[in-house]
Amino acid sequence: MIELSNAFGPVGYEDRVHEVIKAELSPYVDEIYRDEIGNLIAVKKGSSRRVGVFTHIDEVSLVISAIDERGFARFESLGGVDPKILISQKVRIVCRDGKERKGVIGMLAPHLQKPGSKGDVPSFDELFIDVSINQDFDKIDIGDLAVVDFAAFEMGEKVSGKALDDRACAAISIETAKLLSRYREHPTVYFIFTTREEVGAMGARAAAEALEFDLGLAMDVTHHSKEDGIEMGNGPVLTVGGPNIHKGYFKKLDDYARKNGFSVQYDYGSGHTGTDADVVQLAGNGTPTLLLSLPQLFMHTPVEVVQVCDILNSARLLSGFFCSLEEVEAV
Amino acid sequence: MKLERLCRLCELPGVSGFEEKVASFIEKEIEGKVDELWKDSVGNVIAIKKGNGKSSKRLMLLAHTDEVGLMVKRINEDGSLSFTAIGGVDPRVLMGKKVFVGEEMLPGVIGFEAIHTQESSTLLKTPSMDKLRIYLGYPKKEEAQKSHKIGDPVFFSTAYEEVGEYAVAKAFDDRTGCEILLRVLDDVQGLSLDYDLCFAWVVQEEVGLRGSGIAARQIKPDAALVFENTTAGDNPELPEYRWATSLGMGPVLTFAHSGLVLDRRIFDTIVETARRNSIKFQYKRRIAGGTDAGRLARTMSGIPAGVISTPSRYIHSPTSIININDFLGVAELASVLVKEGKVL
Repeated sequence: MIELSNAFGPVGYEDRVHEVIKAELSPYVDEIYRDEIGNLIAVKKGSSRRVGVFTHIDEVSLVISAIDERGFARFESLGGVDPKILISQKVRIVCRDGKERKGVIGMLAPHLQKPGSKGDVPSFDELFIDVSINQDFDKIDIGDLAVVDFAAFEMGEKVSGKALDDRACAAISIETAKLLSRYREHPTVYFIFTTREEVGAMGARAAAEALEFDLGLAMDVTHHSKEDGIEMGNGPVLTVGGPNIHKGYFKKLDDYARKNGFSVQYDYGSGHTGTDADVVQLAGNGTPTLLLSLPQLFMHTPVEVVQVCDILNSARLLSGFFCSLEEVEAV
Repeated sequence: MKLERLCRLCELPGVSGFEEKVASFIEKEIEGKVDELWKDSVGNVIAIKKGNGKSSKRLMLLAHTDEVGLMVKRINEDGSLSFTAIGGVDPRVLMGKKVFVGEEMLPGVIGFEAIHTQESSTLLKTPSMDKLRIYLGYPKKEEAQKSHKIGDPVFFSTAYEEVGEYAVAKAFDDRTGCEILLRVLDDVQGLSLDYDLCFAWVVQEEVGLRGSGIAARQIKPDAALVFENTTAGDNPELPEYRWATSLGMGPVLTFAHSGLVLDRRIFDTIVETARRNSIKFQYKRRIAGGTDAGRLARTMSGIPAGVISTPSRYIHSPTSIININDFLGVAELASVLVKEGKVL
């Protein structure tokens, strides 16, 4: 998961993340390929029942919009980024020539700021990336993508990193595939590592349309919130039946979790859920859809936090649940 | 890597009042290279290389060992830590950063509420320092209390990195100065100087120039050279005529700064020496910011001093940038000034 988080994979440019997943997952699946739009799809063959598991592997990122002759670049965000968490960050920029260059998001030192300006955070119009440190900064071009440079690390039973939304869930997919290898009977499961979720989930849409699943399950992170009763360490979060969720399959998943003693938490989805689940449901002639979420602190910052046991328990729950679908058939 | 020892110095934790690791590192580096070496009651490291006796004068080179950082002020019910600043730290540079807490350097993060759940009216407002928290993964207060207490220092975590002619790190202010002194000492090994060359690596500059006066009283120098790291200000939001200094233009020479007009004779000598030796230099063009020279002017009968600095962009943040050639220029100028001894 640390390796997944550290990989450079801004929206639409997730190929380096593919390499990490392929290296880890290949021994446990029958087929692994990249589709037209840029999803990575791993197939674990089983029964004729077809299940699609969607986790997105893009990360919120910055795109260079202008650069001056002194080496100060301006940028916009791809996905929701809070300007407050950008100041004084190191960033990695991958340029058209394939080379990675460095930058620092700077701000005027306190000594030189205008009195009265301390209460305001610079907006995207005022922020800049200092790329002047690169001798060949003129190779950086408009449209090049950047992400904050942050090395994930373990913090007791938790992990903090820059792209755990949603690569922590990609780790659940990988663990689920490994666990499925222990079962004789299971559905055919497609693990779809989707592109471009942060700008409108077009990756998930394309895959769900092309593959027409009997069941689609999206996984994404959700906010750790004591008030809402969603906390890290208390297990996966199931979104209860609402417009986006298939009531029959939800009951099956919930029953399976209860019967087998899994600790789970519940979230509601009053409309669309803001995840890949939104588009999966509308694919083909309609796809029964579930959403499993992972509690996370500080979403869309470079220091997102998730708890490791939630990931392992999610994988145990999903692998068991998928296999239980076969048993029901047999009865 | 071009500046191996500067890298090690910058990565050491040493916020004001907690400079021990920096001091120990310096002590080890200079052992055997000086005639006298001691650490005083506040943690200043003082060293003297005796002259050959031709002159009774003493020149003191000074740099500060501390850096800005944070201090734990409260352990919250949810296991997170609240903090206050040590030295001048802008809350806007803290969000989304990894920090090290306590002498054991336990890693934690300063997060911030996800953008999805923030009110749009406060999105571009600076949160007060009190609203920020360090999160180390503890589920509740009792767990946090096992490893942390009020008053623990908090350090920035940025690793030193060189990119071409530039270096990116925390604490260039003032580990660049610390390294300049170490380099001068290496340069004069085996040389016979007429005067006593004294070194002071002093604590607590960032919280009110508190270490330098004490060090000076122990050394009793006739003159001093303060080696600092100073704000650049060549940011895109400022027009060129408002820059304090700019990267790549060489060592920064200060004629006046906050609270002090520097000794004219020493200043002129530094400028003349740089010109004669073809060392590219720039003046500090704004009066903002102070240095230990301000304290020296108020020590004993007023110790005259010169200030020479390496300029740094985004100073006092976890991610500052220097130009390596500027730094090497300061080292060269320092070495020449010491060998010529004209500032005395």
